[in-house]
Amino acid sequence: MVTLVNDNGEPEKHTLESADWFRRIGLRFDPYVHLEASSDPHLSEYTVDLEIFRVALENKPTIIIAPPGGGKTAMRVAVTRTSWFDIGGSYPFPLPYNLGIVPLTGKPPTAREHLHLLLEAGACALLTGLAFRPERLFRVSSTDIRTITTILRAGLPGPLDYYLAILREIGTPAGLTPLLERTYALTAPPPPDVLDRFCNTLATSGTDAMRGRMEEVFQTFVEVVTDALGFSHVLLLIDGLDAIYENQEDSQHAAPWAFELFDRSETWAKSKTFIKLFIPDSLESAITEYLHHHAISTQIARIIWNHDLLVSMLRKRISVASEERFESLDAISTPALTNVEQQIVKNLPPLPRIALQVTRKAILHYAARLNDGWQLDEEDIRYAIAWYHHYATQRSLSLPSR
Amino acid sequence: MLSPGITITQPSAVYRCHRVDKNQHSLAWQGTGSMSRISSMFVDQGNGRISMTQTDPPVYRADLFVNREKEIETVTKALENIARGDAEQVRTIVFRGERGLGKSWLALHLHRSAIHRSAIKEKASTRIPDYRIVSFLISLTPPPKELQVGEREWYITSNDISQIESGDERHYEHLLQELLAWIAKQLDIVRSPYASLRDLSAWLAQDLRKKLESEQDLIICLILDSVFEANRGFLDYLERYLLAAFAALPRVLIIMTGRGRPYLWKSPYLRLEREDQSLNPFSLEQVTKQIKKSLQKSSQGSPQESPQDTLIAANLSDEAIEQLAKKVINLGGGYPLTNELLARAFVHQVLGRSPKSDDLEQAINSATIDDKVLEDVASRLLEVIPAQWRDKLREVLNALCVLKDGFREHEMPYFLAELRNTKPEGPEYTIKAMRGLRDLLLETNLGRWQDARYVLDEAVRTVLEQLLKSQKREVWRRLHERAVNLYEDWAKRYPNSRQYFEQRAEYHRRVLAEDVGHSVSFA
Repeated sequence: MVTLVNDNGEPEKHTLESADWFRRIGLRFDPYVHLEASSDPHLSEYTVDLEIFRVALENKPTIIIAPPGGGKTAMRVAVTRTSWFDIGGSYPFPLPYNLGIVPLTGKPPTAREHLHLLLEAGACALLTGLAFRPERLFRVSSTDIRTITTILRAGLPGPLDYYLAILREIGTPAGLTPLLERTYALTAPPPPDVLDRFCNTLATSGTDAMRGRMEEVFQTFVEVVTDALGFSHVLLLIDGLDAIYENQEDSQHAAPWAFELFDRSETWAKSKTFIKLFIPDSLESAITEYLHHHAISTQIARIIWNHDLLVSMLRKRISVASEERFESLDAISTPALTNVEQQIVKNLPPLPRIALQVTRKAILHYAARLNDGWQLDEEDIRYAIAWYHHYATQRSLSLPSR
Repeated sequence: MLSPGITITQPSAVYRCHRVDKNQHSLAWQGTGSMSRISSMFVDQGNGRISMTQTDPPVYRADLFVNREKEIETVTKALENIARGDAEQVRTIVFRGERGLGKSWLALHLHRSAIHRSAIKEKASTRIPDYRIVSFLISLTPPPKELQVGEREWYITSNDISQIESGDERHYEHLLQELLAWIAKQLDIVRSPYASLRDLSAWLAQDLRKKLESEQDLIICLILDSVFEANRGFLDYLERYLLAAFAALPRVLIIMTGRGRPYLWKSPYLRLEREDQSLNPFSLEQVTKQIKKSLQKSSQGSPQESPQDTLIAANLSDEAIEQLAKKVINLGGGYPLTNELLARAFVHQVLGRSPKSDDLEQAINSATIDDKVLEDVASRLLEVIPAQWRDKLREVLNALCVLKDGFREHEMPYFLAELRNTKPEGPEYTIKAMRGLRDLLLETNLGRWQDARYVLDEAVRTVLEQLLKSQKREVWRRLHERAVNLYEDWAKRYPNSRQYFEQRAEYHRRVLAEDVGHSVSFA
């Protein structure tokens, strides 16, 4: 809540919600509020490192390396959402596979366990995606619809009919995302009658789950997605390797969890399925050594944040939030302030999360002193940077010593 | 150059208008549209009075098209790479430019002529298999009244624009349904006129993919004109239901033109494999060529031509046309629409006063253009502003037109107040009020954010500053003096930005110093 003054400097009778306040400065929404990538509905519009984006989408096995907080999850979410932006085009099918939630047994999953988990993740993504874009399903043959239904029944963590009941009851596919796949928070859901037709189509297409060897079931899944449903290829977006163990030192032990997947990389590539492994830089050497030793061909891309890229990131968010009316906080700043984003990031470590937090702090400070003027000032920036340094010091003091 | 071996399905010479717009006159360019009818447009034969109220911007004609070789080469190279199947391909090309810079002409020229001509020219020397290019022109601005709508050309209507501006998403859907069905029909795919937009979009994407797989010689070129000027909500729909699907296909080239603030596309293929080019104003040589072609055309004796038109073209030497071109560039900056309007008006201004052909060249060399002509050109350029905002924005534009380097919101009150010869105090000059005016400027795409400042559309700014300087020289000087004082003051007050403000003060000092015959004095 922000208390405002009118043009004569008198307090206004009402207070504004932050959304109203952002509208007053020419932004449709708060572009810095979401630190958790999957919760940001505009994330896919913010992408600034287009080369990494290209690599993440293309049909080649790839390892994407970034420091913690360096945008791995953001890239994964952006790939997922842009791939489903349209209704039926030839885009990749994003299959998010989070190793961080795999049950811990003290040893890496076997090939069969990986396939089982991939099928489950794929079924979750497919059902959620198709619920947002049922038009893809409506035009495939009844045979293919039956196949899709049997795969969903085989792969989903719960009964298909349970999820269809939820869809019917809530009337929007958004109800599935927290249950099945959070990155699949897509836009432009179908009207309720179309969603109902989607549920009926799946519900009446058989009650059997697909049986057979896990490799064959997964292969059928890939074929249905790429042939019948018209996706260009499948991207296995593998993340969470660094979440298996609690600290960086132990995280080295997580590297073998990916080895089994890369053993299949070349076979998968032949059937239009490509590994995109997102890892922190601490795991790079262990994984690349394994790939080198086993002569597995994989491209490696690094998300490298420097001050220029951070400035671009902050500006892109302003641009999206203002509907391209302006691309920098300079636009709403006093004459004393130029190159605002540069002034913010030059005092910070090159990590997007920190830059977002500090920029938001500056804007909130500006909002809180609206009665002194209508523009962002040097004082707001100073305050935000001081806040960060104070916070960073506190945090380092509170960490246990080693 | 485009590869040999490419053959074309060229738009037919027989034109047809496929959509009827009841309100076309309200938002489309007005008037007769024939650029050859110079005398009847500009000179009231009874009293020689100059009048541009009945004039029209020129309607596209291939034989009047000049320049843009670089842009055409960009397109033909992209088509060549697609035809060759190169891994690295530009699949979206965006041409950006100011008001009257010839974006719509370029779009039409590519669709009706250039793509196809380049392809044929190169046919002999290629090792690339035969290709067939099918191009579509989708214009998000209504056609000039006189334009004959050609084959595979789709124009939005003024009525559509009104409904889109109302924010009614049902109309977005209806319009896109119509557009998708039209494209599907042209390509002979998806015969489901009653399908919903979502179904149509999904089916079009799938059927087009299959068509491109089965017809390996087919390249589709989608040309969209005036994209950034369109409603943002509508663009979201356009991308989701049409462009994103086309952009993902292997042998599709998307070309866009637009003015003002860009649109951030969400589809990766509209962002990644894209080339952006800014169109530039014409050089002296190009303006000379443009004027010469225009005048020559008017002397070729169409039924509407008056004897005076023939006289003009017949009597002007190349040197005289070049002199005319220099005057036109000096006043308007070399923007094709401004060139055309100014050149025609100027010739007829001279003719109206001294209609004898003998001294026409001398008259052209010695005469200065009337303020009224410049005012009419300015009015024409500002027609893109909705009528209800026009007066308000005209004042803002007049106040800011001296700021060639752009401005930020806190600078606006000083210049508005200076124009009104008052102090920047009171509710009219608050930042809140300035933001309201700024948004109006941006809505009309006559202003945009560029290099850390707002800039006005340069074609419009140039004409407005010339007009202000000519009509109200003292006001023009006061505005520049205001700029010098303001930026000098801020350079002292804000040491972190001293260089930034000093550079700006220096520019305005120079402008005033170059203003011959006036002394420079600052407060």
